[in-house]
Amino acid sequence: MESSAREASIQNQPFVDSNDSSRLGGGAGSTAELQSLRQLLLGADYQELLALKQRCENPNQYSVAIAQVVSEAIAIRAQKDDSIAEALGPTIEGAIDLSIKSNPKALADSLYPVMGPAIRKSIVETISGMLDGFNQAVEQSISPRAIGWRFDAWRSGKTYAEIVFLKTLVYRVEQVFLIHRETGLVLQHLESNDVISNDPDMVSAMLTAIQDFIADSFHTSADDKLSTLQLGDLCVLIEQGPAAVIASVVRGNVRADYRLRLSEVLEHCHQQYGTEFQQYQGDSSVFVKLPDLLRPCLVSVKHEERDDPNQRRKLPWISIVSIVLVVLCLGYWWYQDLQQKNHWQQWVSQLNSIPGVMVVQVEQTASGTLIKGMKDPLAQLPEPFVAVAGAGYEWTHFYATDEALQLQRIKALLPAEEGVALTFGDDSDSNSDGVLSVSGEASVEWLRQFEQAPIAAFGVRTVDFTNLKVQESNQSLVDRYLSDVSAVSIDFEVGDASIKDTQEPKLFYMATRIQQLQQILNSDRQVFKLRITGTTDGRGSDTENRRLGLARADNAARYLIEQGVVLNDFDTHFLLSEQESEAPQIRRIIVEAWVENKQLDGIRARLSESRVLSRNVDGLPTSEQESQL
Amino acid sequence: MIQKKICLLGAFSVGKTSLIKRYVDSIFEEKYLTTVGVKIDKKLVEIERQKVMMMIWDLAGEDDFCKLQVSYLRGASGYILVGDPTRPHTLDRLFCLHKKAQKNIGNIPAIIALNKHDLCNQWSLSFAHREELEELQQPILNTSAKTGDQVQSLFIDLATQMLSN
Ligand SMILES: Nc1nc2c(ncn2[C@@H]2O[C@H](COP(=O)(O)OP(=O)(O)OP(=O)(O)O)[C@@H](O)[C@H]2O)c(=O)[nH]1
Ligand SMILES: [Mg+2]
Repeated sequence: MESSAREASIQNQPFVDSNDSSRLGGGAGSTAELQSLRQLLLGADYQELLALKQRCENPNQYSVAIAQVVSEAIAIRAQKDDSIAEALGPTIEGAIDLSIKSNPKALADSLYPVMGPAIRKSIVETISGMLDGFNQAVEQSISPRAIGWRFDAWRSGKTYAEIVFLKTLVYRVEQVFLIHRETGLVLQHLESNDVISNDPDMVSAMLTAIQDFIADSFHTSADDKLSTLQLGDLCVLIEQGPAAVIASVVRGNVRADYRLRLSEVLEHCHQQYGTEFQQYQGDSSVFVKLPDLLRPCLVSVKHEERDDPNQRRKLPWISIVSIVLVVLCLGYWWYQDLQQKNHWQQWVSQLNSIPGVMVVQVEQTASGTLIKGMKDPLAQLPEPFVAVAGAGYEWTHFYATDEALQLQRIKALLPAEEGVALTFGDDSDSNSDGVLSVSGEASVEWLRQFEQAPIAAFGVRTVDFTNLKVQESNQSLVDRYLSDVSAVSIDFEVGDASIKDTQEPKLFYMATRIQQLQQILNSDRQVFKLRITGTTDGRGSDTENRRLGLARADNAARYLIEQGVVLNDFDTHFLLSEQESEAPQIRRIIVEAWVENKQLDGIRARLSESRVLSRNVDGLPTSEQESQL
Repeated sequence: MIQKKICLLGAFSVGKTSLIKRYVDSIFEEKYLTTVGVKIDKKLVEIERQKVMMMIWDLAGEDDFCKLQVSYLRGASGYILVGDPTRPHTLDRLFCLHKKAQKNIGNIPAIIALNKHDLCNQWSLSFAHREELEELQQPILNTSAKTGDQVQSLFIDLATQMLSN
C-alpha cells in the first residue's frame, strides 16, 4: 500500500527535491547542516547523486533506464552462457500456453506460413517412403487400362509405377482464382492463353457460396472445407488460407504435388499481403504483386513431352507383329470355317446324289448338326467322313422311283442267276427310260420265271433282250428236242405211202433234231429211242391198210436214214384205224421219241418226258421201281 | 474499381429476385420461381466517379421452415431488407432478419425496400409496423420491381452509403 501511494505521488511530482529531503531528514536541525556540508563537499555532483539514487529507487524510472540497455545486456549475456534461455524458457512456455488458451486462432494464423512448409516436407518424405507399397498396390490392379500400362512398362523397360505416374499426369490448369475468404470477392484471376473464362467475379462469389452451402447443409466441423469439385475431367482444386482461398480449375489428372504448389503459393500470398487481406475493403488495386505470385499455379503438363523422342521414332514392331498375328489367326479361322462349310456342303450333295435320298434341311442345333430329309428304306448311306461324323439324322421314309432302287426291287423278285446282268434305265440316255436290259447268259428256267414276274409294277415299259444268250441245260434241251421230234406228223395222200415234197422239210427238221439230241446225250449211259407209227384212214381193206401204214412208217424211217440219222434201235409200226373216218388228219405217221438209260436195257417202258427228267435229276432208279412201272 | 458484396434479405416471395432482375437486366416476370440457396448477380455502378462492382447475393427467402443461412452474410458491405406490405407479416420477418444480420455482421449500411408499390392500394401497414420501421432508423424506399419505380435509387443509395461508411 505504501509503495503504491508513493508511486502515485511520484507520478504527480517526479522531481521535487524539497519534498524528498524532508522525508530523508529526521526533522532535526543538524540535518540542514549536514546537507549544506554535503553540498559544500560535493557541489553539483551531489545533485546528480541524488537524482541517480532516486532513479534507482523509483521503479518506473528504473525500468525506463534498464529498458535502454536490456536487449544489449541480454545479447552480451547470451554470448557468455545459456542462462538467459534457461531463465526465460518456462516463462515463454507459460506465455504461449496462455495465449493459446485465450485465442488459439492468433497463434495459428501467425504460425501458418511456418507450419505449412514444415508439414509438407514431412509429408513428402512419408510419401516417398510409401512409394514402394504403392507400387505393390498398383501392381495388383487389373483394369484394362492397368493392363495397357503393364504392357507399356514391359515394352519400355520402366517400372509399372513409373508408367502409372507418366500416364496419369496429364493435366492443364486453365484458371486460377485468389478469392477473399470473407467476402467471396475475387482478389486476382489468371487464365491460360486460349481459355475463355466466364466472369471471374461471379465464379468466385459462387464458389464461396457453394462452400458455405455445403458446410451449412451437411453440418461438417468448422475446419472442414470443400477442397475439390469434380465434373468429368474438369476439376476445381480449392486450397484454404486464413484470409484468402486459392481455387484452381484443372482439366485432366492433376498430380499430387500440384496441391503442394497451391498451398505454397497461398502461403506466399499471405506472407506478402496478410494484413491487407484482413483489412480488405473491396479495393484490389493494391495487390500489384499477386499476378506474379499466382503465375506458378498456371501450369500444364503433357505426358508426350516426357516421352523419349528416340523411342517414338522406333518401328512399332510389337504392334506390327500383333497385327500380323491377329490377321493370321483370323485367316486360319476363316479358312477353317470355309473348310467346315465345304465339308457339310460336300456331304449333303453326296447324300443327295444317292438314289432315294433327299436332304431337305441342315440344322445347327446345340448338340451338333442335324440333317433332315426323306429316304427310301433301300437307300444305302455311305460312311460319313471325319469332318461330318458327328451329324444327327432325321429321315422320313418314302418309296423312291429311282431306277437303281426299282432295279433292286426287281432283283429281289427273281431267283439269283449268275451271269445275268440287269440294267434299268440309263442316266445318259433318255430313250432308255423305262427300259430294262437283260444281258449275259440266262437259263431257260430263269427266263421263264422272269417272264412271270410283275416287273411292270416297278416302272418297266420295255425289256431289252438283245444282249442276252439263253443257256439251256442238257436236260432241258433233250426235253425240248424230244418234244420237237414227237410233235412232227407227216401227212399222206389217200392210198399213197410216198413222202410228199411238202412234207420233206418236216422230216428234215426231225432228222437234224435227232442228230442234235444224239450229240447231247451221254452216249455211255443214255440211248435215244424212236418209234414211228404209220396210220391210215378207214377206207380200203385192212390188209391193204396194214401194208400202207407200214410203208408210210418205213418211208419216213428211210428218209431219216438217208439224211444220215444213225439209229441202232429203230421201231416202225402201223396202226389200224378203228374209225371209218376219211379225214386227212389220220392219214399220217405218229412219232414217239424218248431216251432210255442203258442199265435198263431190255425193259421197254414208255416213260413220260417228265419221268425221264426227274430220274436224271434224282439219280439212278432201282430195278424194282422200273419193274413196277 | 472496388468490389462490394451486398445481400438481399426478406421473407419469401416479397420480390427480392424480381428487384435484382429489374435492376440488373431491366426485366420483370409475373411468374414466381422461388430461389433455393443463393443466386449471385453483379452490377457495375459509378458513384462520385468511383467505379463500384456490386456483387449482389440474392438469398432464399426465409420462412418458418427454411431459416436464413447466416454464413451467406459474411463479408457483406451492406444489405437490403425487402418487405411486401400486401402481406404485413413479411414485415415482422423483416425486423427479425435485421436483428439477425446486425448480430452476425454488425452495423453495416442497410436500406429497407417496401416492394410491390404498384399494388399500394392493397398495402395494409398497421400503425405499429410504421412505428417499428421508423425505429430502425434506416432509409426506407417504396419500390416496385414491376414498374421499376425506385429500384435504381435503392441500389445506388445503398452503394453511396457503403462508400461513405
Ligand atoms: N405486382 C408486383 N409483383 C411483384 C413485384 N415484385 C415481385 N413480384 C411478384 O412476386 C412474386 C415473387 O417474386 P420473387 O422476386 O420471386 O420473390 P423472392 O423474394 O425472390 O422469393 P423467394 O426467392 O422465394 O424468397 C413473383 O410472382 C413476382 O412476379 C412488384 O413490384 N409488383
Ligand atoms: Mg427469389
